[in-house]
Amino acid sequence: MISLTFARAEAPGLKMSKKGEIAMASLIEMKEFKKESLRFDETTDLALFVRTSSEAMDGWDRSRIVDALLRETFIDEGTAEDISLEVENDIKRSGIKVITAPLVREMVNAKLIERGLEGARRLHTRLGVPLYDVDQLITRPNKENANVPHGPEATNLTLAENIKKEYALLNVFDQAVGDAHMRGDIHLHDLGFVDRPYCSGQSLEYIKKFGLNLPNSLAMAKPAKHPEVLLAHMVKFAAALQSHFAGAIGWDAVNLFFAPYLRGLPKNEVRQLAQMLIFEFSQQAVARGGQAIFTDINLYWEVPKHFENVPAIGPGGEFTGLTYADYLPEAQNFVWTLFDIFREGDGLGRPFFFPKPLVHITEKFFATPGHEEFLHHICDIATEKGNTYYVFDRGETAKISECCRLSFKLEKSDFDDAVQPWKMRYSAMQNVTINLPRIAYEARGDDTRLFELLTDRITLAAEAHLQKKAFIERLLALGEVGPLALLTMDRDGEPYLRMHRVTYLIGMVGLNEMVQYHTGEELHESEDALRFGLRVIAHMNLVAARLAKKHRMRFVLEQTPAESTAYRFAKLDMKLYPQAQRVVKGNLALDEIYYTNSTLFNVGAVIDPIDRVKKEGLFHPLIEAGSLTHVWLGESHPSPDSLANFVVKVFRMTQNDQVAFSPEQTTCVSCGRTVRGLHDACPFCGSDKVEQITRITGYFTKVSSWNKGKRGELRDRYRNGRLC
Amino acid sequence: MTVLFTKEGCGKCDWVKKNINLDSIDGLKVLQLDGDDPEALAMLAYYECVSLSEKQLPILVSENREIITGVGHIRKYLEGLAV
Repeated sequence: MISLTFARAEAPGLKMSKKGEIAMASLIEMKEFKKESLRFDETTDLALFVRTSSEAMDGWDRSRIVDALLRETFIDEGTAEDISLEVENDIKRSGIKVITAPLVREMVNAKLIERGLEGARRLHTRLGVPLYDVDQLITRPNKENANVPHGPEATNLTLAENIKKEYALLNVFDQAVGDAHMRGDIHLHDLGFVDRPYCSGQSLEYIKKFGLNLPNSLAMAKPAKHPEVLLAHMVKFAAALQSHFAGAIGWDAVNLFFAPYLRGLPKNEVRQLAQMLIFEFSQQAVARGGQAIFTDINLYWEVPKHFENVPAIGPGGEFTGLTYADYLPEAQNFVWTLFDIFREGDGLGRPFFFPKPLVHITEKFFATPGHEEFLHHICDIATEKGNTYYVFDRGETAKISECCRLSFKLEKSDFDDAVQPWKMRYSAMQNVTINLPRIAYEARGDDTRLFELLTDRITLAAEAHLQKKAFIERLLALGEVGPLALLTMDRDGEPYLRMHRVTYLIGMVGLNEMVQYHTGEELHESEDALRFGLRVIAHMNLVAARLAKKHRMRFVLEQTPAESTAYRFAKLDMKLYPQAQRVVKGNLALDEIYYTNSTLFNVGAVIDPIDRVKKEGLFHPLIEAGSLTHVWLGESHPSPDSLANFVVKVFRMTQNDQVAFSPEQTTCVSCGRTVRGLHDACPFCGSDKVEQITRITGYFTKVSSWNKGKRGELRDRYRNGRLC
Repeated sequence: MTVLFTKEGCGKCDWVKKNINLDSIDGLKVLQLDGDDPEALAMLAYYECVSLSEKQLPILVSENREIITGVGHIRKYLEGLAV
């Protein structure tokens, strides 16, 4: 019993009766007793072990809760102490003998929520994946990216991506942006790679001149003296770049920059080199999650104007005394040979998935001797295997292309840089895609409302870009000791990642469905629908330009490849907007639903291919960062001549940026034969162990790895039997 | 419909506007390519003149979609319409 003296001391000045004093004393005693029972004597036997995240079994130590709260949040020490005592008491009452650090953290989080300390709770959050989900991931393939094979590296990738996605949404992007992504108003691409830029384009000249001297590398290599060593450097550098970018790695004018190393080489050695290049990039399963390095090689029949008078770098990184114009024969021989290898295919005659060959068609191309034979040659490969991408650089335009359609349009300053081609490095920081059909649902037929919502979404996308930029700049500022050391290396006096030349992409999905819902007609169904679609993209173009001026950042439109985004948006909209049923494409019963990619026309519409190329091409000049039209061939096998005529027509008579022809093939795993078309069983041996192969969005891959949305789209694709 | 694409600050566009009575030409739509009019930009794209507009303005697109550039040619065509 606490003395009455003490009780009086607790309430000085308060006149109490004797009964009152006794009651007060009892109350004080109860309070003291409660505090006593909450506090454990640290020398006594709370025989509790904690499985920590550093793979140790530590004895219970309440102060670690306090330390964590003070380190990670902004709460005061008193509150931290109280919380730690409560958690300790809860654990003692439970009788548990071994507890995990994550569980302790969640118990602390519950106390923070009880106290209304949501901000502190967010900061104290643990990121992770449930046990069940990890088990599923390890045992079942993930089809979000058709390029990633199922295996331990892929599982590591998925798990790391999951954590980084949560991190991105909690700590990089603010709640408005994060919620918009979660709702499906926008899509923040590659959230799991939030600590990297998106895609990049560069020049072999960098490693030709400076050799291979990468941060954190165990060895440094001087500039290559031999072409196969240059190739080895290229592959290694590409692998290193893959781990610092989320998307494709593009290389400019590959055949031209190899040319000084090929002078005097016999044909068989050039062929060997070409074969090595293609197989290296096809088989190096060293990139993210064990996938092949996503590589684009830009190729020219002519010497691009901006490289004609540039001093050529040759073996040992030395200037040869000649210009690149002098190496035209070697460059042409090499590109021809590369396509010979593409035509052969791999060991089973299947098309190579990588590298992707992008041939630039320019005015100078048509003025260069031999162009007709070369065009026939690459069209032969296009119809046979589908590899060839045709990039149309009309007038004075020049581009470095990569990914399935992303390109960097070269400006005057870039042409000035061309004198030192190793400086020609370009990147896109991030892609944020707008869900266009949803805007139509919300606008309910009102044009003004539709364009207002569109402006709001683009403005939000710009905010997302600002936030990502700030985060990456924070990482870059750590320099050589930071996680992006490779991007800060400055062998030529400039950081490898040239921030002043970075673009910030604003993509779009489902223009066709937006127009269909808003006007009642799909893009291909009337001129009015087509013009409305153009107005939407023109609006996006102008808003992006205004924001670019305001923020001094290059916001540009890109046709989002939307491998999984088209499916994601369709699924979310079906849940939230019943009216989406009217326009969503695919098979609802099988959940194989999708929105039409970016500004493409309905893939199933029966449209003459040249019309499709021409009309889809109307959008391309408004989409600076790149566009592509697919011509699905299915089983059909047009002649190289018809393809060549088609390509010339596209260049001369349309504004289309880029075209790819996509045949479909089936390879039998049992007998090794490859046949045209998609078959469920081998027509030769009858085996059902077959691989169906065609282009997903911008690269070839096995259909078995596609997500449901893409499978739905595949079913719908209109295959062009004839080109003219 | 005949469409004339112009831009603010474009000297040749100003000359055409000043020296040709554009209001008197039936079926002529004059569009200004500034940052605020997506309709104008969309039309420019529809007529496949976006790249051309980066090099020269004004651009006239006739009713049968003939693209006419050069102030002299534009003037001649429009004066023909006005008659």
